[in-house]
Amino acid sequence: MGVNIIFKIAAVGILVSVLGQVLKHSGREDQAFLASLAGLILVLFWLLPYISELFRTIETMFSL
Amino acid sequence: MLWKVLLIALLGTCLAVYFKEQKNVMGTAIVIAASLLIVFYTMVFLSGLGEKVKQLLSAMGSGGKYLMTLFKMLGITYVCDLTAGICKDAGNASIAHQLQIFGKLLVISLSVPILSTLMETVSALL
Repeated sequence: MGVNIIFKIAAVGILVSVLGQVLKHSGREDQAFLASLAGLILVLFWLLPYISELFRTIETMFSL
Repeated sequence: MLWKVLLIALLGTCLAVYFKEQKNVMGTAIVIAASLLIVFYTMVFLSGLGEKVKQLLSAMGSGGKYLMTLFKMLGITYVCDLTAGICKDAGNASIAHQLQIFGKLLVISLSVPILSTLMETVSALL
């Protein structure tokens, strides 16, 4: 919790883009696309618990 | 706590700009993460306030339940505005606009019972 999630997402983003570049230059465009998709899905999986926890607190806070 | 929120905001902006420059999807993910963290910190210190306001409301007796709906309206606008902001950042302003319209209509629908009780009391007076 805190700032490190932003660093994790940034790290995944940079690694995936580098991997994508390498794959693109070695002629495998589709695998590059799949790698970036996998990175995105991984990040979304990290974000999901934060989002659900946050909406639970908002729900209890404002008794929605 | 304040400085941590400022740090998160600045950091998130820099990283998001960096990723948006490369037309990378992570930019939006970082924007979502940063705004969620900031909302989480506002929730941390708002929760203490929430309990006090609820006790105050219950002590006030009959007027309390109307203020509860006021509290609910506050929550709805807050969440809708947060999500609309993220959607606008990501570039699709139409979704954000639809979300804001939905939030407004939801708040209006919440205020209907209060209006009806107001009408009854006024007509009873006249």
